[in-house]
Amino acid sequence: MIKILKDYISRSYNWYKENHAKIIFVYIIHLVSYYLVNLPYINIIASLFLFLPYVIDWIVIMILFKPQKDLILKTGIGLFIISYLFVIVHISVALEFLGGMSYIMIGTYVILVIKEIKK
Amino acid sequence: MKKRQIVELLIIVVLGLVPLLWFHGNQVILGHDSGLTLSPISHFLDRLYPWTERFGFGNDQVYAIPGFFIHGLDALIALLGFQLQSVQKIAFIFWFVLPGLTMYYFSSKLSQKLNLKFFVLPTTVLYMFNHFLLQGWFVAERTKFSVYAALPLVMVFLFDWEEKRRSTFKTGLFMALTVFFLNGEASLPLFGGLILSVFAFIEFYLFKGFSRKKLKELGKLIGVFVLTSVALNAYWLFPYIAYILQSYSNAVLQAGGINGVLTWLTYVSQESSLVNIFRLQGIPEWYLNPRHPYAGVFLNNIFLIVIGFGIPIAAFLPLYLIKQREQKEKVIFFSFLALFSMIFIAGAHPPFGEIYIFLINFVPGFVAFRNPFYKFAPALWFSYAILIGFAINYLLQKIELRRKLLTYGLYLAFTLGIILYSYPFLNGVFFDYIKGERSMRVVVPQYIFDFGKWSDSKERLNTKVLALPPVNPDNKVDAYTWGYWSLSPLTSLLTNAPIVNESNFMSTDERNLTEGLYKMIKNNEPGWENLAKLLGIKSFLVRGDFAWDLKGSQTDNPSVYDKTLKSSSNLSLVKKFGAWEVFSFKDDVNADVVTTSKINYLVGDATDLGKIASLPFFDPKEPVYVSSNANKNAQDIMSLRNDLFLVPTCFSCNLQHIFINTDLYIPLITRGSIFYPLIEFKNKLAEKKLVKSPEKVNFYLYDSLRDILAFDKLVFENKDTYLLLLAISDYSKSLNNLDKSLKDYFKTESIDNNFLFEVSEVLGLEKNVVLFKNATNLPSGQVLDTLNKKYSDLKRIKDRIDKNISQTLDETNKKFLVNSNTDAQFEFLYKPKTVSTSWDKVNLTLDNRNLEIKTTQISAQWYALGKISLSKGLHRLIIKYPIENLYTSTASAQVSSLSDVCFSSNAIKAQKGDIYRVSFQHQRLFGSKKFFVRILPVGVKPNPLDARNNVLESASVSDNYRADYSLPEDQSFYLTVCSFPSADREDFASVLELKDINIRKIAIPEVVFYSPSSSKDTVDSNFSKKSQTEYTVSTDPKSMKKIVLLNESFNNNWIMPNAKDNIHFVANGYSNGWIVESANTQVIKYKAQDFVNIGFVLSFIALIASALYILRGRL
Repeated sequence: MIKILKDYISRSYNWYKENHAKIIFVYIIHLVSYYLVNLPYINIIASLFLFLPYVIDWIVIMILFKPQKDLILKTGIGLFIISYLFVIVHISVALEFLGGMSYIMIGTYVILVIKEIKK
Repeated sequence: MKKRQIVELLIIVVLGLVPLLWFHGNQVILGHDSGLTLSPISHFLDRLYPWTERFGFGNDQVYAIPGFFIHGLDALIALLGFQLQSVQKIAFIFWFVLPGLTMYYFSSKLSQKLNLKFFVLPTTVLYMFNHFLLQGWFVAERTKFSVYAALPLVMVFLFDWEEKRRSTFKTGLFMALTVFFLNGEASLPLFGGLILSVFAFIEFYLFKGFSRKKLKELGKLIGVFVLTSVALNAYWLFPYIAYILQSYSNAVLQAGGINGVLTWLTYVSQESSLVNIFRLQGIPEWYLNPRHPYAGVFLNNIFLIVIGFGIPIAAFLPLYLIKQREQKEKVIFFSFLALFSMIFIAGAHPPFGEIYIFLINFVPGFVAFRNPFYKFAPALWFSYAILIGFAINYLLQKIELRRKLLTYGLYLAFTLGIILYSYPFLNGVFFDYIKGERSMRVVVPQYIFDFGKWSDSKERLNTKVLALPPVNPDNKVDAYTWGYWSLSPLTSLLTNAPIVNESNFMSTDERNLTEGLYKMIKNNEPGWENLAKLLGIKSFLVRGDFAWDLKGSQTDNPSVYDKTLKSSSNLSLVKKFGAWEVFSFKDDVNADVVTTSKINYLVGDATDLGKIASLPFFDPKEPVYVSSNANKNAQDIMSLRNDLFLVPTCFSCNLQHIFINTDLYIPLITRGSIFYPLIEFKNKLAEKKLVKSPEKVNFYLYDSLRDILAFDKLVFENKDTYLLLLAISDYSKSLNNLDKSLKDYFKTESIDNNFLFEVSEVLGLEKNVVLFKNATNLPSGQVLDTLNKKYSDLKRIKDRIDKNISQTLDETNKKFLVNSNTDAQFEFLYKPKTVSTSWDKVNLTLDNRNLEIKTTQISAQWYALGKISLSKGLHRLIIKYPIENLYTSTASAQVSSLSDVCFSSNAIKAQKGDIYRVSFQHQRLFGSKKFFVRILPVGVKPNPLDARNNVLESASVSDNYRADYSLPEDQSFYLTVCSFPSADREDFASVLELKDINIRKIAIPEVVFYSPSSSKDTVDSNFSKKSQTEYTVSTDPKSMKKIVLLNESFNNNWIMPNAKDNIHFVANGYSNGWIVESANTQVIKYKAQDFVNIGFVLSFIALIASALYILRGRL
């Protein structure tokens, strides 16, 4: 059991070591985009798309980490199971967040596979 | 047809019989927003005309013509001899099974193409049994069902077209025919889901392989669809376009303007979160109605919540599971459609809410989608039905390889599960929309049907009847003790006879006249019979079963009206139907169409008709022209005048401010917004169009109001100084422009006191914004200093206006403006509103001349003040009006804090709308404890905890207290003063002394100047009614000019096509009048009927042509 745990931690750490530069980059991108959308005039347009910085984050993650599309879909659908718990305990903030996450993940999957139908 | 398909269809048809479970005993479905009628045939026939008399005074109803198929179905079933309940059962089965059949057609085609063995039934059943339709069934929303049923058909035609199974032309025809028959009564918002689905299809169609050829084909398809649709729907489209152009802005205004729509949108979108929508929940009614019949079960039952989360998992799992290309393509399309529709369904809810609000603000016509959930949701339910069908099919096809029996068992179990998840369908509980209180399932008493049948008889069909008691004027709810509840008057669903109920279909004048008449009947005021006759009312219907004391829609007890009617010697009880009684005038009332050569002329507005009708010599048979219904040919009307009545206006007689809804003027886009230059540009364009002086004043007045409210908004949003200064500069400009335009206005001859009063009130409002909102929220500095300068300008302008207004400022000097349109000698008539005072003489000032006139009483209410000559123009009249103290106890009283006893005045009996002024002097004799004052309805005890805003700040020096009390309903009230509870221990009493206690009604006396005619003319009636939109009338060819009156609500569409150069005007404050050159016979017709007739012919030709084209190969 300890060995499994050790392996898991070791793998996670290795993954982090390989990707920590990308993680920091995503974080910086988030800060910059968040700053930009709050600038005068841009904030007027951005007010229509409050989720804009998160969409930018998501696009950057997609480019840098290239997650498998099936994994995105499975995570998107899987979030509904987690959402169930929050419905039971009436935590609407978490539900809003998870609903948005599911939407963006399933939406991403649809966008990624849509090219498959192109003749 | 395969055996399997027959079985599936049979199952769908059997499931379509579910509506049979909803009816118990003699129940029918009626009321709320359903529009279901009690007389389907006559209701359908009435809807073939663009004019209806069902609401009493007559109304344009071109909006109702597209209901041809929906109401035609009911009428057809009724024509076959079925009773009302059976008609509803058959019609409901039709509407219940129709979406199932169209979805079956769609899904069976898809299943054949993609080889989906276990797909059709779950898909179809889910499309028939779901919570979206459940919510629609709660008002039996057949318009919604028709568009909902059209969606799968339109999509199947599009898919076939894409696969080249059908030609572009034929596809366009099929789509147009679908929308022709299933037209949602031409309600554009109902097409939201369909529009989204077609839009998603087009996106996919072009994305899959863009080429010019494809684009051309698509253009051709759209062209065929649009042109064929226009031709097919010509019967309602032509008159409807005219109606929409006329009523769009009114509809937005009725909804409270764009701001009102946005407020509503935010309200209904509160629970439309993505996670709810994913689960096919978030239906606004579930959360907004705490007594929803079944929502609580789905929101709180853990097992049902699990199923709820299973829905999106099942819907999106095929994206992962299905790999076969053709199937995957469809799964991707429907997943895309589901996700795309969610953006719109969520409305104002985050994260996409701002986009929706943007669309409402800036996309013309999008404001129609003010209930996003209900309008766009069909696209989601449609896509989910298909996606879940894919999931079930995938699962069962996997199992089938090993266990066939289990597979079919599960197939049926899934289908059954879908039905059970929408279990309210099985018992019709959704009709009980407020659990335990209100239901659409009612048993209609037989006497209601008897009355309807009697009213539709030839003798009664043209008899205008006034329904009593009136509905609550605020919400106009028509409710009965036996369960009917709706905003649609019951009588309008029962008979085509003209029965007057106060409704939203009325014009403002009609509403005022009706409310005035109701009030007069209630109080048995002399003249009510005259006013009723003037409005063409021949009968009165007293509904003893009216739910007059229903919470939220209280009105008057029917017995009050019954008493008045029974006491009248001019009326007789003509018929009794259970709790309903019909009274009619014994003597004649003017017919629907009359002719004469003279008309009474009233200088005043429509509400003044009630005043002159109470004059003892008033003849209600003689028509009246009211000057406020401005007509460019008023001089021609005046030349035919009979008696002349001048009714002076007493300005601000009730000493109250006029209500201005500032919410309507708060600008959405202010300084700092990227769109602000656009607003400035739009304003400049509007400014250039201004020509007349009053227009300019009006424009700059409301411009200044918007500017100060914009500034206020910026202050509230804590914007920086620069923006605030710019906003003040804008305000300064609009104030300067207002000042200049006012100077020009004062140079003109005709100064409208009413208009100036409005200007003064708006500026007063601006003063309040500056003084009580901005000044208290802003820190001292440059902004406050600049604002102060502008405040001085504002004050100066307001003071100048106030000097020029004739406005009543106190209770004793009632100021009137008399506008005489000719030099004449008048009888000066006076009707004071206080009966206990002696009116032997009246003190007044007329054009600065002080007079004391002895009176002669000419009726119970009216006094004659002698003859007086008035020249043409404006005259100022001030009547001294004595104050009558209604407080009858001792003039002074003491209240002690140690005693539990409050001071209470005698009860004052008062009526709704009356304003009472309460005043007294108060002085603290001992102690420091607080006292509070309340004015309360009799029976309500003062609650010290609810008295925070009513504390008397008394001191050892006497101080005045004054408050006005407006009555929300008929009631008796009293004044009370009590000690305020204190947490401190009290060692000695605090005592308050009250002196000069005075409670009086702020009276509004009436004055009429009457100049009788030197000659009179008879009123003739020689006409025939061909239909509700056409009459022929014979006039006397001997006289030069004739006045023709049609006793229907005024509308420019009413014309006399053969009478050249006729003058069309508003008669009797609401109806149609014409001055025509005499001729033997004239025709009166409703113009829109021609459009409808031509439209019907065109539609019929288009339908036959379409059918022939489609069938040409098969015949």
